[in-house]
Amino acid sequence: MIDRVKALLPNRRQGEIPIPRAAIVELTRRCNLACRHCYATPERGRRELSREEIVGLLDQLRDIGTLFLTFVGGDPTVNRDFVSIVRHASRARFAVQFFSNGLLIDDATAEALAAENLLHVGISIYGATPEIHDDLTRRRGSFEKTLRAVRRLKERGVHVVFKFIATNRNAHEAWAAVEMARRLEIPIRVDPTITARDDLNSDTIALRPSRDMHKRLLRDFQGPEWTPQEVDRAGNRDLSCGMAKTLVSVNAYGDVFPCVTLPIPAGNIRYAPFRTIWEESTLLRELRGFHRSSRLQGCPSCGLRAYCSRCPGNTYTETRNLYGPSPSACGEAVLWKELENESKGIVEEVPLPPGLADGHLPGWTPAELAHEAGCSVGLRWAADGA
Amino acid sequence: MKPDTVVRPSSRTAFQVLDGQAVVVATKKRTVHRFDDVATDLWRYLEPGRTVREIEAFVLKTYDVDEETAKKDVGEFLETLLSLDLVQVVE
Repeated sequence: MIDRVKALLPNRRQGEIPIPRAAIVELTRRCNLACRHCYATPERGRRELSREEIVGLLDQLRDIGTLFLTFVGGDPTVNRDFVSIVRHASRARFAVQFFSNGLLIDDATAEALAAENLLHVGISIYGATPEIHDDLTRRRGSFEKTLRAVRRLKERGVHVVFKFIATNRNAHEAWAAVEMARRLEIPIRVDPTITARDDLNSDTIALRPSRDMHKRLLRDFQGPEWTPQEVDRAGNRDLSCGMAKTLVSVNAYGDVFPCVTLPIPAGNIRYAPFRTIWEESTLLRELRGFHRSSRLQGCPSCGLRAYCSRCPGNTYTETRNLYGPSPSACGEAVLWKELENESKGIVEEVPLPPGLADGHLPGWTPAELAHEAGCSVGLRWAADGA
Repeated sequence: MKPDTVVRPSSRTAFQVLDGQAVVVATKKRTVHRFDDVATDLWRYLEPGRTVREIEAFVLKTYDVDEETAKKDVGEFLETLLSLDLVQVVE
């Protein structure tokens, strides 16, 4: 039912300033883990928002119409006022969720959180064994601590969801992690998307799962619920998303972003009221017309759009070009098209999307691409270029 | 429900009025509900906690309906909200 929320929320007409129905608020950039793939990089020398500043922001968001509120970090529980902020948000009648590793959720914290009105808690889990999980978090004992937190929350009736980010170091345990989640009766989302860091460092790309593994992950964990999306050739609406329209993000230093994935600030709540930034920012205004922009390159004419889940923010951190194709989304579109073809017994060459013009996808080696080209379905271009 | 029964939004709801329409989330049941204009008016009115009698009087004063219809409609509305975990009875 929650998944149907988009259909239930009113949409404003073109030209009207939209309502940021969902806000992602970073409570701190600090974290008690050092995950290899994390996109969030601390900004030295900047002072994080105080509790009073965060509460003031929440009140402004409530006033402008925000309903869904997600607290992120770093790890949001590292903020010493975390529980107090959650309490404020809950009692202000936001639908609150937060993402955490759970390390700081002891019995008292779990008890305090259970007393509030939480929609759910997303807990990061990176394996089914301590060896694999702790390798990714780079902190020994974190796996056991995370599972203890999950049990504490669940025992008290808090709805917990596992988030499993698949990398080339842990993807092989995804199936075991899903089985573990089933035993614990906790929903799990397996996501093979590794983004560049928000300081545009792309060293994380090397952690992406192999092409073959990526495809298996899509098939086994996202395939059952996946269907090609509707393509809007005339209006390009499928190339856009909720950024700057129904979604907004504010980081721990008060910078306002169109989305948590897009590290281009529109303003700072220390220097202007949130409403002023939301309504008057040139950046946000431009992004609201993103799908109509003449600067869009490649994607409008792409034949794989129905299979593409291009994220403008990820595209920007990956290529430094908001309007061009996203190599990682192009690669995933090819995989989806191949999976669809395989399920229907179709043998055909999958066309080359614009973001793979050089035949190389970050994180997938030319050797892997050449190997895959030996398959009966698609990717002949990779063999040609290898 | 008796006339003196006090109802208010359940503590397990989140809500917001967007473009004049209430959107109410039942966080335990994980359901989302969008109210029409009349339901939104009633939701706003009962938000601080109201007796059934007060809500009936509000409907009589606000809408062109007779007393019997107001009582019937308010009763059905509140029963629906209760069944969806959107309101709670204050003891």
